[in-house]
Amino acid sequence: MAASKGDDRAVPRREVAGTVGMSERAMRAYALLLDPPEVDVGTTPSAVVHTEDKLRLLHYLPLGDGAPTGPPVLVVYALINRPYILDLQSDRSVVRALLEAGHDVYMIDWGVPTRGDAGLTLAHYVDGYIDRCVDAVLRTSGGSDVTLFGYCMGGTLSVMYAALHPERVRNLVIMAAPVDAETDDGLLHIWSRREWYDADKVVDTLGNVPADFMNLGYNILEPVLNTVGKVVHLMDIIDDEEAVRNYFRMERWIADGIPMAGETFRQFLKDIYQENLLIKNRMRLAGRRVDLRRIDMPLLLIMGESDHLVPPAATRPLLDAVSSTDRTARELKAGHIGLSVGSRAHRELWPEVAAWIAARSDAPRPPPRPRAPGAAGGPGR
Amino acid sequence: MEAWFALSEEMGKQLSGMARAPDKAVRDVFQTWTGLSAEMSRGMLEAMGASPGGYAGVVRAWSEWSDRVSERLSSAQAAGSDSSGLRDLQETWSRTSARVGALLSRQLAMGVPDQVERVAKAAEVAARAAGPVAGRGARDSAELSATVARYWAEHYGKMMESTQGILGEEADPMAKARKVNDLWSDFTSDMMKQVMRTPAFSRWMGSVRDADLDAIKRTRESFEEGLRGWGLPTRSDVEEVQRTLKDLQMEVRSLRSMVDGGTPRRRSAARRAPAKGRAGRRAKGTKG
Repeated sequence: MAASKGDDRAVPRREVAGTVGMSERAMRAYALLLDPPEVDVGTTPSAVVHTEDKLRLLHYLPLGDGAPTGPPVLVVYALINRPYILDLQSDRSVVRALLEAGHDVYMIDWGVPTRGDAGLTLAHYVDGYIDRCVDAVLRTSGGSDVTLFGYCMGGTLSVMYAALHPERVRNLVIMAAPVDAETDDGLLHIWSRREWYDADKVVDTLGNVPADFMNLGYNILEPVLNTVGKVVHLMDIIDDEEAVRNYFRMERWIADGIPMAGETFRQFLKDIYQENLLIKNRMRLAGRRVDLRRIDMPLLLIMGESDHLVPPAATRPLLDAVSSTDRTARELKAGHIGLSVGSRAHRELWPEVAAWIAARSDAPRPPPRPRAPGAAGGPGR
Repeated sequence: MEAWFALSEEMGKQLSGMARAPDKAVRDVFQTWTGLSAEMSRGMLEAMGASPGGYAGVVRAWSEWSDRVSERLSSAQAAGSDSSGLRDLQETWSRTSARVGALLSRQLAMGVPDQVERVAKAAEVAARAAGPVAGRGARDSAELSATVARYWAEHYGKMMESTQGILGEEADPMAKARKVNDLWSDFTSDMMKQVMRTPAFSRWMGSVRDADLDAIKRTRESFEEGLRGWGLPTRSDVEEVQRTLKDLQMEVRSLRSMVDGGTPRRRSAARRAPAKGRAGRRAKGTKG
């Protein structure tokens, strides 16, 4: 509307050029979204050292010539997505970071449960599959215990395992794991309350809970970011070939979800999210109580400050629920996924984690801390 | 109105001179002004009455009017008019029209929340009325609409002001578009997050989910009834067999482990008790 002074024609020309440029970027972005490029993921070399049902236990080959040091690190990921998020791209791979620090790394790939697996419970996973994977790791490595590293739901499973089998866990590293549901920080905690989430109905109707069903819930946690924001971001990076490849690595991982065994979903939702039994030491796996006070090994908690899936408030209470004297909590300015693939995480966090494990690999386990009766984490909580 | 009067006064002084101008282009501008001022005044009166849609009508009229005056000014300039009166008019126009536009937009922003608030109240009334009569889904949808409308009403004015700020301050058109996009994306995202935290949203999501699950269940049951009528096995039958096979497989694994490795390190926890839950009562998984 306003007439400009000076170069009258410059503005229209710039507007036209800008509009054309933006349209062109948008077209390229949509073309890529419709026909995504092939991307490689999980490229760190590994060997399968144990299989059972759908599960494969991967043993990562050392990157250098030197023999690995310390107890082997067993990585337990969630039962929801694929574990290669921890080895998504070679320059931001948690697996590589640990290998480069000289650790011996194993990871459980749960595979895809079929309808026949719908009856698998948390006890099958924790006291069955994970325990046998620890057997296989110790057999392969010749060690007597492991550093257990659990991420997300895999962290919750690892906490249960460490409470049931503390003698087999030298160090426990738990990252962004839901342990305490008494928080309103995360929408998942609100949405999954029993007054409006009927877990029985979901499992009785669907059997195994499909990945798409769960992904719908995760996607609407960030409704704008996961729709408009994604496209705008792709337009921003469209000229950077490597950034585009990384973008589609993440997209591939997001779309590569796996269903969860129905009974496991039912139990996890009801016992952890709705009844909050784990942190109250009232969780039972196949008749055995999961008592967090039995966790007496060195514990490292890793949390993302902006984690909208598992907010720090859902993980932090574990620190006071265990008997470990050697307890460390580390919060990073990152989201749930940023903890594993973010540049900040790989610059700051993972070297620290690798060093934390190394420092506790040869030292004898410190004695458990004395607990006052009725302390947090006790049965009366 | 304040801006209108300021503009009228300033423009009027120059236009009175233009009415006698020898340049035809300048006279055309004058005619455009006088021809449309009546229309503009009607719009202003409507706005003063604060009738629904009044502000929007004024902004629309203003936009059309200013476009036509700008077009006349550009034509006059393109025709090579070197009248100093025209240049003065153009400058005055640029300065004051931007001011009027901003004020009108702000008025528009202030007017909308009142209307949205009325929508929110209406939705709440609808929610209360729907409760005993309609289903849970209808009540939840109405409550959710009220929540969204209320949030929108609370923040809309500020958002419009921020948008105007970006449009007025940022010169680069692409940066302008990006900033507006980011502003509204953040706003929408925050609004959604606030809304999604409400019990109304959780209940609404639950009712949608339950309705979906009911539909899936009914469809499956009717298929299975048909299959049974033909004496064919159903998916439920097959799944039951699969589950039994899985249980047997795990029992065998447990026994093999005992035979191969002697006494297990400890008794299988997973075998001792099945999981909780309806289907869990069927599950007899073992560790082996």
